[in-house]
Amino acid sequence: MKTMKQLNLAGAALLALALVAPASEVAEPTLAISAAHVLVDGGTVVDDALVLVGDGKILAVGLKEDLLGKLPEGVHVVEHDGWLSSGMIAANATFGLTYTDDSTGAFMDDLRLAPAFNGDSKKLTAARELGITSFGLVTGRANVIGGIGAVAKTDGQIVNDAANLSICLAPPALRGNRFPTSYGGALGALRARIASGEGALAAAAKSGKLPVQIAVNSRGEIARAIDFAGAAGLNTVLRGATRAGDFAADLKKAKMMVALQPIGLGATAQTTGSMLALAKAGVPFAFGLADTSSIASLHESAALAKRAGLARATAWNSVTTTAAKLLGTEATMGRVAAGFDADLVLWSGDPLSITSRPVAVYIDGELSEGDKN
Amino acid sequence: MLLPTITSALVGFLAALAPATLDDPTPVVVDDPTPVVEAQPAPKMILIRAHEVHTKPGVVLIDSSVLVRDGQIVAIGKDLEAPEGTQVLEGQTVCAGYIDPWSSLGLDLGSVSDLATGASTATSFAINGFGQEHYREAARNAGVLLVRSQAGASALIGGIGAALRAAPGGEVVLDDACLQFTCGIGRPGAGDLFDRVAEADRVASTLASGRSYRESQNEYRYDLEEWQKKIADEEAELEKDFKKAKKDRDKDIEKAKEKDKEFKESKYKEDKKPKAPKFDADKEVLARAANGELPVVVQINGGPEIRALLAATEELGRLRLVLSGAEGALPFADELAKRGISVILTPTRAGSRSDDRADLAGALAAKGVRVLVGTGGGANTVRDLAVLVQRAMAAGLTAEQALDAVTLGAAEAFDLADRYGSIEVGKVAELLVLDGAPITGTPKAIVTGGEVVEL
Repeated sequence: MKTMKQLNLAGAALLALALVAPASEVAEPTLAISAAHVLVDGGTVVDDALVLVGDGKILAVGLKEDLLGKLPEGVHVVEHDGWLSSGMIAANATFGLTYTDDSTGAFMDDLRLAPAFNGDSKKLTAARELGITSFGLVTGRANVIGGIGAVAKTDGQIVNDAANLSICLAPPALRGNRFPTSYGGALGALRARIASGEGALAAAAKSGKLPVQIAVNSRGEIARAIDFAGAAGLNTVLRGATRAGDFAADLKKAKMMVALQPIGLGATAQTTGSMLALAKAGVPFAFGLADTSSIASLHESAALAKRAGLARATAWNSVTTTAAKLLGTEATMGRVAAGFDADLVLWSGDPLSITSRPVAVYIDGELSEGDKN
Repeated sequence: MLLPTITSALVGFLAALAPATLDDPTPVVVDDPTPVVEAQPAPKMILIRAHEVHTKPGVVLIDSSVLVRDGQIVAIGKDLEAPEGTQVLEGQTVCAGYIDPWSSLGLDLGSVSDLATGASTATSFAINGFGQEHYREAARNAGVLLVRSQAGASALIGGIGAALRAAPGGEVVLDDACLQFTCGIGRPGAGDLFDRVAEADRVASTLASGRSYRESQNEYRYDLEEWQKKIADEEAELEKDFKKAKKDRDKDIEKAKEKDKEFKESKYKEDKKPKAPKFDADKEVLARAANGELPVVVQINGGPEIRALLAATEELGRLRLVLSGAEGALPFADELAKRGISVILTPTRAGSRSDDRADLAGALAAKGVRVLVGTGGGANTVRDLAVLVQRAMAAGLTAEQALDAVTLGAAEAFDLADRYGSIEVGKVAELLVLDGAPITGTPKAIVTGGEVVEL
């Protein structure tokens, strides 16, 4: 608790400074939200704070007493006697996709998911109500190369229509009735594609920028994926990879990240231990929802991860800032700070408690759930 | 060195041989270090001091203590004296240990999924205290100290559930905690809507058959008593007027001779003795259940079958019904509240809020239904009981209702409240010390079986 307090003060000072500098260039605030506690990111809390929003962006975050006087007249001030945080981010999900996998081939290099995305999907509404504001849109695990995914928000907008590439190096993609039927076959084909210089995978390998989410399960698959992706120079995110903690040192060395499956009830000590090992080694990890049906498990993952012994800050970041890093959107998403998207959640209590629920959700400064007060 | 020992042994021997005949009053000194009377072991005392003592849901004593002697609560108060040798435990909060009213801890998979169980099948016979210690340990460390385990969880008639401690070995504390039925949607082979409703009706008619069995037994007892009384009366009559009876008998013998017939002794007609109803072990249990002597848990989810069950059991006035699962119970909340029927929920978080069963807990509680929370089966999830309750709290269950859901409410539903479920003098000290509020706080120590386990 003591360290938290110190951080609070330091954070508040920094934010206040940040506010003063760009004040003249940014848009006029159209909305202000005051909250008893603002969770700027996992490690920073500002008490009695005011968040100014304009043009879909966060313009400023600071102490209420400092900012209230500078507010132009006529700006609607929402008072929330609780916690305010950034909207949560799922490292992967298939919301809005009716068919998550194309069944015509195992290598769908240039298939794009964005045109297949249905922004009216009920799952988006459900996710939004549960405090999730953006996610990495990915394919399922049925194909070795699943296609080019996107970054989307739960209000239905696509933020980046070519934001990631889905690969699967595990049994759902490797099956007996088509090529490839084996790990070797799949890896050989992937290497050949990279060597040919054609297709999305080759492009991703060449630039080393596009996040490639490689779905793997067992330890053998994890080891194989690390070898392959490392050699290919991909910007790698291991998807699933429950035992990734056993390879924490290798992952750290190779600068790879992990999109874990949610921590659920009944998670084994092995699963939570693997997560703690990743944290200890400093491997960035977030949680994804592509391989589960429970949308609520994203929020619970953060709370249960903390319960399992993960530092509070790391736990919260795993559903916000680290997830944004995995998606390549860390400059605009995941923090309550000036310049970031105004994707905000007002909570009934501490966001890291299972007893808390979102009471209002803003996406790009627009209220999508809950009552205006 | 040897001599005095022998001498003293000899003296001792003599003294033992004829102590009464010895006139010499000189006391005999026996050089034996073994005390004649074995000393009572000193009672194991534990004093728990806490900022908040949640004696029962909604009742909090500030800066108070609980004194435990040999595993039993002996005093609760502000300035309790700790006798010498007392183990003192300090913490933020102390409350009763959690009770999981719906689990399979201690059971093998075969017993849980057995479809051939009957009313007299006793879960306690299937409890295996040797395996699964890691599950019990995880449960204890999360504050779950008691569970109700149930065999035959998918069978229409699952049998008698048991209450056991999550202690090493899984000691059964009540071997007839309830009688369980399962019906309707979710049960293997439940079929279409008609079948589901018919299953609910079968539950009620099965219970009614138990009631009939009890009635026929009572009737038999009454008839037997009547019959015995009648015989006794006749015998008394005979005794009273033996001479007259003998004369009558002689007369009858004479008459029979005259008519050249054989004399027949008039006898009591044994065939008129009332027949005892056939003993039926299942019906014995069903009778207890129908009569309210044993709580009845019905695992039921669909709305139509819940409606059918409520309608069919209305005439079983003494029935103590508890619903588990109860996903479709909301439309019947008023009736549940009125009839005092508790529900055991497993607040899962499904895909979206609309099919979110965590909401159900808050909604039912708001309508006055007593909500219990259980983990719903898997032995590995017993440890997550408090997390499930927290989900329900997020959906509106108050802190008081939340604590009740896994302590006193569960204890009262399964006839454990005389020993467990709250902090009261005389109750068993199965207690939990937390760093914060009950349910949301992290367990720091448990008091179980008269011992303190620091976590």
